[in-house]
Amino acid sequence: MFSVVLYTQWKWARIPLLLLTLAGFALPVLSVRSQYDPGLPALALLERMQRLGPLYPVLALCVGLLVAMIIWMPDRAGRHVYALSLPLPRWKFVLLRYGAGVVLVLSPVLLLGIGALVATAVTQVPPGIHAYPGGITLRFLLATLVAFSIAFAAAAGTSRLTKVVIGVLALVIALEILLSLMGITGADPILKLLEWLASPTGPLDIFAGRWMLLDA
Amino acid sequence: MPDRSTTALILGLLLLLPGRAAVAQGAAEARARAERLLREYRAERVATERENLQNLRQRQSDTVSAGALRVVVRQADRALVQQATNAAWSQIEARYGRLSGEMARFPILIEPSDTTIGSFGAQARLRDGSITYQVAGIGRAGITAGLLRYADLLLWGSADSVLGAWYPATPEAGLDSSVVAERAYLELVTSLSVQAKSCMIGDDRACSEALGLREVPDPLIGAYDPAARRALVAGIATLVETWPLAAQYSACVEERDDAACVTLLRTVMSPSDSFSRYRLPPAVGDAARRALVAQMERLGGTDAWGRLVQAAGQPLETRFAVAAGVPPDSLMRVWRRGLFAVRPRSVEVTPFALLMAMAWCGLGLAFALRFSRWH
Amino acid sequence: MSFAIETHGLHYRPGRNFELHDVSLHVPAGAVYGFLGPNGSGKTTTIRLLMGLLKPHAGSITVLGHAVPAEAPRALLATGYVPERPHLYPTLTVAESIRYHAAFYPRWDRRSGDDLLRRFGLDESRPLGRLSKGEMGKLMILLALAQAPDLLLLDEPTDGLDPVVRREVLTALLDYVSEREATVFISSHLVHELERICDWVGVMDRGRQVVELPMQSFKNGIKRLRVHGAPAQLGDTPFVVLAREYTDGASETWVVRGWQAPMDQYFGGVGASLREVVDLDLEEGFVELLRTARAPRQEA
Repeated sequence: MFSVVLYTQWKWARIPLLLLTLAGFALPVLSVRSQYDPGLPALALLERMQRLGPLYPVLALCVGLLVAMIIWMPDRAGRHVYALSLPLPRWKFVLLRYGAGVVLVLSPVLLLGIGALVATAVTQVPPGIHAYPGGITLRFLLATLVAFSIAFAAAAGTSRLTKVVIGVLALVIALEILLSLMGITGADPILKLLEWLASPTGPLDIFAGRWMLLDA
Repeated sequence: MPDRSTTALILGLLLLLPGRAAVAQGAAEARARAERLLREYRAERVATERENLQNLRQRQSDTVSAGALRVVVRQADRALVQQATNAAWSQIEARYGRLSGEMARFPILIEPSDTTIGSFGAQARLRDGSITYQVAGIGRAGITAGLLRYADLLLWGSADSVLGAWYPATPEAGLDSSVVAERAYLELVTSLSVQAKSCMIGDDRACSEALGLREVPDPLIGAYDPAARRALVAGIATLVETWPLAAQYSACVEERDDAACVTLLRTVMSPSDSFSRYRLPPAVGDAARRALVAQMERLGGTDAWGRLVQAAGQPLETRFAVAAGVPPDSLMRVWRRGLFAVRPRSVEVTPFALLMAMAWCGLGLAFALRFSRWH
Repeated sequence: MSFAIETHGLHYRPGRNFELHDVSLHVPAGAVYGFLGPNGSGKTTTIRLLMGLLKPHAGSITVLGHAVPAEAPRALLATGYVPERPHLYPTLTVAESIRYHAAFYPRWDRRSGDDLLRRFGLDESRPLGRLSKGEMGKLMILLALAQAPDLLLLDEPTDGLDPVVRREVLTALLDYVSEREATVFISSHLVHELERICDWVGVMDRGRQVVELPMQSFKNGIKRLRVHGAPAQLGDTPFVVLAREYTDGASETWVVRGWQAPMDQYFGGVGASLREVVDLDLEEGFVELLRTARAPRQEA
């Protein structure tokens, strides 16, 4: 059962997934090879590496979002009739979709890990700097999984859930406008929401911070 | 007043005017006519200048001041800039004490740089006579930060040449302290210097040497190990590869001959007509030094700067300790701890981050199960 | 009598404009049950409720002995479903669809699936998105039959198919039923199509169940009568008068249900005479049934 679900999901997502997997391999290799210069002082190398750092969370976000959207797309198009008519508890079907999705997102993660290992193996890391192929791969894995899980919930959700989420966001924006019209400063609900999202307990925390294959 | 070339041009044009009338009236008449035209032209220029002056007055530029801080500003921005100037002055005075009076010699011009976003630019003439311009920032806080940057530029190092040489102030001096500390941390951990590495593991004396507060005898040998020297040589490859030093370069980098490295570095460090003199990089850069100044000010309070200036003539390490009001090793410890406290978040995932990420995955799955048609 | 499907007082309201009200179905095991009704009468909604795709607001559903939707997965293990519109994944090929579907049914009959594939002449390598309507209809029947179900829920399975394909599909269906003695619950608005194959018939209109009875009763019991000299007030009649139309001054046409031959004596008793008794086919009966269901009855 899992294998056929995995196969179908692979078939639906294979083209973007292949591109993302290639990007996963290329990112660490190119980020190091394009920025590395044997004569470069360590600090300058770090600054160069830092420029390409944001590409890692962006890639993780793309992988998670795309896979989650694609694997639910055929069900959404058929208004879930086929999947719901299959003889298995609904939670089990969701787990099958989720599990197969996790397996799919592992391929870019795996290739990124291999790319990171290759990149560090062929580079003479300057003194004072360390390579973190494992660390960056683990962070990339977690970021991808978080993006996938949240997008998975959104893609599986009913239109009512979408309306609730949009409603809450509209409420926050309306509150911000209202407070500003009333001249009340300091509350800033939008900023507070964003701060919470990026806080250590928020879902975006894993995307934040330094994404450096080579770091101090 | 019209310049000479303009007068010549008008006269020339008049003299070259074709037509029977001019020829008939003769040269004297022509000259008289030219002089009349010249007078008219001058009168017109005077009127234009007067108009320009009037426009200038209408701009209503004004000077606001707080203490010795003088800021030239449009009258429309006067209130805003006055607030920023007051805020900046209190900080400048607290930091530089008596020396802050020097600011009166350097008026700063503040004017809007982009009215759509409300940002301002600041312009000032530095000690060397050069004029610098930089974007001050947005709003009151931005202008205050801009003024503080100029104060650093203008006053830092003016107390004595030793301080000025130890840390030549740059506009970056006004960077946010956490940014400075983060950069200082990176300077320390990526340094090739033996002292920096020892400092990292808690050697206070090494910290002092890395910061340049104590001298290291023969730094080429005393501050670098063979691997670091090789890295230094590799770093100047473009300088020496194509020179007669190429053989030594090859011996140093490829054959790992430390003696060749030392010889090569000593050669390039000595004055020569063939190439510009190479200087060993400081163990840590400006950010680490700026972070030390920040710690000194924090520990020493408002009189810290004054004590630093008054202690001129003593070794730098002593001067900073006196200014901070703590023993030198304590100051080094505080400085090091400060850097470690703000060190950039590593790419390595902490157990808490791992736990939170897993929790968000679980929450996503739970939402998919509960708040969809799949429940 | 045991029932493959049983519902009591089923109520479901998906929106403001439609409501399924008090539907009580009794589908005998092994029967071919025709579920009739015009478009928008609630047939598809009822079938989705039976499948457990929707939750009823009131009432109970039992399918193959399992309460639905609570035990829907168990019921669905032995239920073949063909929905009104194709629901399969269009990017998969025929072979991939069969493999995918088979994985969920432990009773999947591979030989039967292969036989049907050959019989229907489906190209295994063709993606579903490029199948014709007829080929898609055949594939859906193949998937429903090869899972060896005890119950087939077919929602207008032949709608839009050409006569040749329709015959192929219905023949395969009847072969399966005769071989396995499965129950078939088939909805359609094509009444004549069901006339030949159904044992039982249930009629829906505007979200309400109009009638449920054996096909034989349905076909025989509905008659058109030509009556002369009938009184205005009829009083108690031994049959149900579904419609009463005045053709000229003294003659009338009645459509009645529950008619039996000895009932003609009734007319002598009320001073009227029965001139003619006409059998109605299923479609005519269906139309008359709906007409009376929608209009106030003109019963005496």
